[in-house]
Amino acid sequence: MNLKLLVKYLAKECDRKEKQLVRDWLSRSDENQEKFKELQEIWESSKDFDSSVKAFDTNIEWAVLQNRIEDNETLNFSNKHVNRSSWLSLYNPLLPALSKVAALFVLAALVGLFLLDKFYVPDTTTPASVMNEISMERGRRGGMTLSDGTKVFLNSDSKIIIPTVFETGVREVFLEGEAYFDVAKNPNKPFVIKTNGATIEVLGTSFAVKNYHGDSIVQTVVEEGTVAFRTDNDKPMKSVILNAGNVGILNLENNSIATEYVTDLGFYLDWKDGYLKFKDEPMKDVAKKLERKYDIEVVFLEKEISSMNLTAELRSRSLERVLKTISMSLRIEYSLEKDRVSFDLPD
Amino acid sequence: MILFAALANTNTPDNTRKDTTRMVRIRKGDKKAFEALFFEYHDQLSRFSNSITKSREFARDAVQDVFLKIWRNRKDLDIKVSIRVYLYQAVRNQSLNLLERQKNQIKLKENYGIQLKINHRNEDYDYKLLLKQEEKNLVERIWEAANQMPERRRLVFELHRKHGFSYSEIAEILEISIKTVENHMAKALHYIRSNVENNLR
Repeated sequence: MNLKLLVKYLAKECDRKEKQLVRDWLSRSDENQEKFKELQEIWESSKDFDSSVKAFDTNIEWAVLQNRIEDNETLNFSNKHVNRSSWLSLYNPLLPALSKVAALFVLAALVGLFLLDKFYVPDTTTPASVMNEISMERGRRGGMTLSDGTKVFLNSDSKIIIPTVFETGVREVFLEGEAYFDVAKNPNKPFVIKTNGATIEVLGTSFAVKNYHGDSIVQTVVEEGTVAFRTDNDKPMKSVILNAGNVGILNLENNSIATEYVTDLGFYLDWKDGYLKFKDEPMKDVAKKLERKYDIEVVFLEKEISSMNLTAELRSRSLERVLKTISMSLRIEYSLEKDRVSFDLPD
Repeated sequence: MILFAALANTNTPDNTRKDTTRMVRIRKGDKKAFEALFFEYHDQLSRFSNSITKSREFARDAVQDVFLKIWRNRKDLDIKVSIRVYLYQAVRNQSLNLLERQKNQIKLKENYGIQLKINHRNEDYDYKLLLKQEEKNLVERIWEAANQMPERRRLVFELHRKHGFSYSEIAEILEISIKTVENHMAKALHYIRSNVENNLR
């Protein structure tokens, strides 16, 4: 019996005549059957093996693809926010055009944003004409590479203001919301992030900063390297040095900075990969994160749910699946209508 | 473990219908349909390209390029085979292009007296080689043997066993005849069987 036919048989590629041939051959002797079994074992074992190859990061690749697509399409900035939902490379040749268009509303935005929130008085030495505001809507995440090679990954409902080119002696950006930074090393030009009430200064490292509009804290988590974290308001200046694995939390109300060493940075950084990870997190905080990530509204039909603590690792992109997991682990119920999720206690 | 088992046989009527409506939507510029296509196939296509190029970087680029092209040319998209076969064809072509381009660049640089070494090492496979013989199970031994086979034969075998394509689909993707696929499959099994046996006994 030729091997080609046997393999064809295993692959279910035989026509009726060939099938009969194989069957006849099989029934002829035990030896034949033995031979076939051996082949079959290899055949079955060779299926679905791929654990040695690391999975590719589809989320990030999708974001990169968005950028490449948008680079090739007309950029459309019709409103105040630069609603670029994804990867934006500031190297791109379209940028001179972007800067000009952006300048008009960014100037307005700078004045509006900063005067209303009183968190930064524009530095006159920084020409406003080269500032860009990039915002990520709710339900979106995305990243960009700045002109110095620094990578920024913005979480949902966050915005960052950056100059097209870093001209002065510092690389200065302004953040509202949450962002992860992988700062390109440049000892001569510190990288400075300003938020409402705090300044974070680094030379070259990766870390994440969180300070959403209305938050009474500014949180900085360091993944690699060292970061200087200090207050930046009208109260006496406080400052700490944060090393890898450190979390610094500035309480804007009493102007104090607490630091903590964490073993699992995943809780602070996994959002950039699209995951949500919680450890004993009250549902009211979980709700906030879900609202931002999925652009939904979360309501608790029973007040006690808001103080239940959730520990979970949610790796799904599907909101339904995430809600199911949460409900199961807390033994509560949910219903999803349009963009509104209600959690309730079971009857 | 990442399973490709569920990807078997793509030629069901359901899939053909799904393909058609999806292509109509993408042709009309429906980004959501395009996104769904990307998320459905990105990982398996990257693995396929990785297997050709032996480079995760190239694999990422090749798959990016293919999807970018699809989106840019969506209005003129005319796919005669199933979408999945089409994507694999396109990824294979782009992977070979990238390899060719790299070879040319290296030649160019060598002409200028710059010495460069091609790094054709695949970390994914290296990791397995580090395992001791007795730690390897049958599956790992099978693929270790498969990886030593001639390129074309290994790809035929992979497309069948890892990606679940039929003989005719493999013929389409690799632009060879079905007879050739049959031959490669038989020789692959023969080679793997003798290798695994030697290792076992």
